[in-house]
Amino acid sequence: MDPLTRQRGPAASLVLALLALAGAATVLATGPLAAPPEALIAALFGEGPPEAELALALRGPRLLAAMTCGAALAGAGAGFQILFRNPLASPDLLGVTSGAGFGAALALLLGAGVFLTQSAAFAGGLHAGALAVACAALTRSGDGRLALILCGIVVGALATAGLGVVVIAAEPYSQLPSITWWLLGSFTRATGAEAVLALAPVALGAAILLALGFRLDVLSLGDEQARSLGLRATPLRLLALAAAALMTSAAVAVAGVVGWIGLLAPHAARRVVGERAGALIPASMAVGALFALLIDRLSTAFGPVEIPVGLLSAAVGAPAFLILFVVTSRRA
Amino acid sequence: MSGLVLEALVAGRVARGGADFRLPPLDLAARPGEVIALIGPNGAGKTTLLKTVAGLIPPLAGRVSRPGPVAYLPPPGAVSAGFSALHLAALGRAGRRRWSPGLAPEDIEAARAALARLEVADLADRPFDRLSSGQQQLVLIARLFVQDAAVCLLDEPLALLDPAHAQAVEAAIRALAAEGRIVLASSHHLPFAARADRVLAIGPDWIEAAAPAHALSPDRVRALFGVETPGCPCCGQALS
Amino acid sequence: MRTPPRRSVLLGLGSAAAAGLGPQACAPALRSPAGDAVAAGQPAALLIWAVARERLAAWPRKPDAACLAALPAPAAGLPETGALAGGGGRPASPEVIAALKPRLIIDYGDADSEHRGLAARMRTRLGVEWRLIDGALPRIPDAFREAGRLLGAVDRGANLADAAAEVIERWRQAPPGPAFYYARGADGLETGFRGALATEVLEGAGWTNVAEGSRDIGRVTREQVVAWDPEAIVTLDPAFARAAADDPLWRRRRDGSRRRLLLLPEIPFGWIDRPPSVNRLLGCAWLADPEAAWMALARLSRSLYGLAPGEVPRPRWIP
Repeated sequence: MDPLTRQRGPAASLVLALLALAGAATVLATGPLAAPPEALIAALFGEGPPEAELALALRGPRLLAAMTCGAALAGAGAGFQILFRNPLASPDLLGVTSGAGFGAALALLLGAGVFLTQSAAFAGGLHAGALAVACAALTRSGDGRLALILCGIVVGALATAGLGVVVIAAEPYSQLPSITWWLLGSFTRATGAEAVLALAPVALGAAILLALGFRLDVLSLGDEQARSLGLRATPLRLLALAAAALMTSAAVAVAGVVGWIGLLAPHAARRVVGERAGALIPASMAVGALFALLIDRLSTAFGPVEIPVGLLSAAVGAPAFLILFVVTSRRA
Repeated sequence: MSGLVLEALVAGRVARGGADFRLPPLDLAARPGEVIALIGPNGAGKTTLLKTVAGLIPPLAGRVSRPGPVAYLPPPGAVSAGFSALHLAALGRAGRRRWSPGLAPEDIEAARAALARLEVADLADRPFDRLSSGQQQLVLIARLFVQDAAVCLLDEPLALLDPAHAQAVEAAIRALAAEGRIVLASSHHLPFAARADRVLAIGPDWIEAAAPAHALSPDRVRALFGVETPGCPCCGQALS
Repeated sequence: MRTPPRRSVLLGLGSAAAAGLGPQACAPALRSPAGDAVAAGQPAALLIWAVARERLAAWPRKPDAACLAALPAPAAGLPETGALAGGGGRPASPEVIAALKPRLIIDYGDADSEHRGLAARMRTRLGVEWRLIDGALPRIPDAFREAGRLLGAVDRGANLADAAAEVIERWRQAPPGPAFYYARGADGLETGFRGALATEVLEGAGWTNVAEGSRDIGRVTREQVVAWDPEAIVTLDPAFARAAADDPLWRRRRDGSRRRLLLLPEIPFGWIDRPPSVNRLLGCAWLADPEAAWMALARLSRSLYGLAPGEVPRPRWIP
C-alpha cells in the first residue's frame, strides 16, 4: 500500500472532492418539492421560478449542516486518533458529545427554542471538554494522554447521568419526545443562518488542526519524544484538543448526536492517504462530509418520515467499519 | 559547538513516600566529537541519567550546561508510528519549524539524504511500524542526523540488534560524533564501550568516568557487575 | 460513537434513578391523602379527576404551575408519584404507591393484551384492585360510566357519560375543516401522521391530515411540509406558534396565500392531545361547532376540571 500513497495522495483527494461535489449536487437536486434541474440551476443565480428558489432555500441549509457536521466529526476523530495513537478514539473521547447532548436536553427541558438549544449544546460540549482537560491537568500524571482518556470517560459518564435526570424530569408528552428526537440527530433542523453560524467554529477548529499538521505527528510519538524533538507538548496538545472540541460541539449543536462518522471516516481515509496528519485530517473531513451526505439522502429516502441520522449513521457506519476492518486485516 | 558540562549532577527520581532514587554526584565535561559509553547493571540509573541530561526529568541537585539542543532516543521499540520512515526522519526538523505551517522541502531532502547515508533509503516510504527493530533504529538515528542536535543521548541503541545492524548503528553513532556532536550512549555491549572515547560507569554507589582501558579492566568490571566476565556479558566477544 | 440514547435506555436510567430517588423524594410530601384511588398513568388521573376528584390520591405527573393555577386548589396539594403503567416519564415505585394505601388503581388507556397482562401482574404484586378501562375516544362515555361505578359516584359518572356522548355525536357530524399539519415540539417538525392517536380528534372531525406515511408520531423535514402544502397548521405549543407566526417558510403557501395557524389551548391539559384522555372532549366539542356559544364549552370544562367559566382558555387563529 504505502509505496503508492505518495503518488495516490493528491489524486485521491481530487476524487474525494469530486465525489463530495456530486453528493452535494444530488442533495440539492432531489426532494419532495419537484423542481427540474434547469430551474434549480437558474435559481442558483437568482433567476429561477419561486418553486425552485424555495427548494434551494430549504435544501441548502440541510446540505450545509450535513457537510459541516460530517467534516467536523471526522476531523475531530482523526485528530484524536492521531493524538492518542488509538484507532478507537472518537470525537466523544473527552465527553464532548455527551456534554453537548446534556446541554441541549437541559435547554429543551427549560422550554428553550431551537437556537437556544443549539447554543446550549455548543456550550455544554465545550464545558465538558474543558472539565475533562482540567481534571486531567490536576492528576499531573506522566503521560498526559491516559489521564485525558480517563477524565473524558468520567465527564462523559457524568453528562450521561445528567441527561438521565433531565429525562426523568421531562414532561412525557411533549418534552421527552423532543429531547429524544433531538438526541437522535437530524440535519434538517437547522435554518440557513444556524448552519452558517455552526460553520465558524468548525472552520476555526479545522484551520487549527491543519496548521498543527506535522506537530500532531510529533505529539503522537509521546510527550518525551515531543520534548526531545524541541516541541512543547502540553500547549500544542491543548490547542489540538480545543480545536477538536470546537468542531465536535458545533457538529452536535447543529445536528444532534451523530455517531460513527468520527470513527469510520479517519479509518477509511487512512487506507487511502496514510497516517500523516497533514494528509489524514483533510482526507478524513472529506470522507466525513461524503458519509454525512449519504446518510442525509437515506434519511428521507423511505417516505416522508425522516429516519434520524444518528440511527442511520450507526446502521450504515457499523457494517461499513466491519467491512473496512475485514478488508484491511486480510490485506495486511 | 562547545561542550556539555555536568556540575555535581545528582540524577534521580523523587519517590512519593519512601526513599528517593539518587545517583552519586557526577562531574563531567564532554567535548564536541566525543563518544561516551554509559555502562552499568540493570536498574543502576542509566536511563535516569540520560533523561536528566536531556532535560526530560529535573536533576535532584547540580547543573547541566548544554551547548545547544539535546536529542534523546529511547530504547528500541519505544517509538511507534504509522507514517513513513521518511516522514519520521523529517520530523527531526520539527523543533526548527516550530512556527512554520509545515516541514520545508529541504527537510524532506535532508531526511532522504540521512536515510541514504545509513543505507536505508529503500525504506523511505514504508510505514515505520512495519520495519524491523534494526531498521527502525537506523531510521531513528537518521532522524538524529536530520535533527542536528548538539548532544545526542541514546538509550541502549544496540539492544535487540543482530550483528550486522549493530555494526551499522555503531558506525552511525561514530559518524554522528565525527560531525562535532557529543554522543552519550548506554549499552550492555562492552566491546562498544571499549571502542568509545570514554566510559561512564554507574556502579551500585559510585559513578566514574574514565578511559575504556581502565573502566573495562577485569576488576572494574567485577566491581561494576559483580561477575567475572572473560568477554562481553551479552555476546561473549573478548574485550580488547 | 456511543449510540444515541434511545427512549428505552433513557427510561431504564430513569427507573434506576427513580428507584433510588423515589422513596426519598416522595416520602416528605405524603400526608394521609383524602383520596384512595390511584391513577396508573396521567390519562387515568384525568378520568378520576373528572368523575370523583376527591378520591384521587396522587398525580402520576404533577402538572406544572401554570396548569395547576387553572385547576381547583386541591390539585396542587396532591403529591406526584410517577406512572405505574405505560407512557414516558418517571416510573413509580410500587412501594410508594403502597404507602398511599390505595383501595383501587385505575388504568386508562390501551386495552390491548400487553396492558392486560401488566394489569394482572400489578394486581398480584400490590394486592390492590386494578381496573383497566379502554381509552379509545369513541368509548369515553362507557369509560365515564365505569369509572363512576368504581369510584362510587354513579350519578356523576352517568352525567359525564351523557354529556360526552352528546359531544361525540356532534363531533362526528362536525362541519368539514381544512387540510392541516399538526406541529409538535419546539421546531414543529415532529408530527402525528394520519391515523395517529395525537391527531385523532382533528381527523375524526373531518379535518384532513396532510401527513401520511406512518400511523404514528414521526419527524419530517421542512421541505416535506412545504411539499404537502397544508391549509392550516395546528399546534399546542405557544412557543412554536410564536416562532412560526412570522416565518414565511411556515406561513406562505405554494400559491402565495397565507397559511392559517391555529393555537389550541394546553392549559390545564391539551385540547386534542397531551395526555390522550378525556381532555380531548374539549377539542371535540370545539371542533363540532367552532362558532358555538361559549357557555357549552365552559360547562364541559367545568365538569371535567372544576374551572369557573371565566377561566376557560380559547383556541386562537393566529393572523
